Amino acid sequence: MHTTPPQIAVWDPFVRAFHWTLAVTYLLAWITAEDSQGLHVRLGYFMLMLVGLRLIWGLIGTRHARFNSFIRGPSAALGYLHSLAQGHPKNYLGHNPAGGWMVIGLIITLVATAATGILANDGGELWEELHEGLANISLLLIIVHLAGVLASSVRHGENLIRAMLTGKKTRSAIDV
Amino acid sequence: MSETTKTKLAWVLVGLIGISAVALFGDWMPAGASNDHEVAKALRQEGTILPLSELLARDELLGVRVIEAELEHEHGRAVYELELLHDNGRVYERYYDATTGEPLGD
Repeated sequence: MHTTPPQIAVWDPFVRAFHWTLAVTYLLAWITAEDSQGLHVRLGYFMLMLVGLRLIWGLIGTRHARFNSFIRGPSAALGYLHSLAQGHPKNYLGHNPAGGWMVIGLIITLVATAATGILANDGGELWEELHEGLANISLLLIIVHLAGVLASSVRHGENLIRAMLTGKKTRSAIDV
Repeated sequence: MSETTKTKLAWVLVGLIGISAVALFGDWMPAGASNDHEVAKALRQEGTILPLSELLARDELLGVRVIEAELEHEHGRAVYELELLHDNGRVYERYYDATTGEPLGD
């Protein structure tokens, strides 16, 4: 008999809407970087607002949205990456420890990118160069993020992109 | 707060994202998509843009047939995009800053 594996709700509606809205905003910010300055600046403010809401939600939100549920020490992150490289990664229902560090890294980089962009808007060569440098760092982080999501999806046998859309993970792929 | 209550609150935040997006980017929707006639009227009444009639009354545009006039947003400013038919039968596109009426290049 064929049975569908039981599903468990992990990502709440805000976490998902935040994730995909941020992704689209980021993409549009790259597209509008050279021209459409007005739109580019508005996208920066919008990004700050999104991250601001996410920071609040990280303190008071649902279980897997809260920072204290996924921020762990560097050894836990390295341990996870090691287990992933070995092909037997430890399962986490929410963010794995390496993913948790990526969340923090992206939030810091994106806030710094938007903030230096707003400062550069008032004039200042230095802010502009910092803004461009940070934008490149954020792009690098996103490439690593995508690679990590792909690697974890394959190793865990769980489509993590779909999980971020539906909010659900299959219980069969979860052991902690 | 229970997880169920928090999930409801999460939906409220999703709504907040949507409302903010419309508030911030609503006027960047492509002209012609929905109610650009009303948008143009509102901008004209608050004095942000020149009435189209004032632009068309200019010497350089007298006797020229206007096939199409559109109000667009380009690089954060309002632009009138006119499609003109000249006596020689050729169709030209001309752009004007809708606030100052100053002719623009392409």
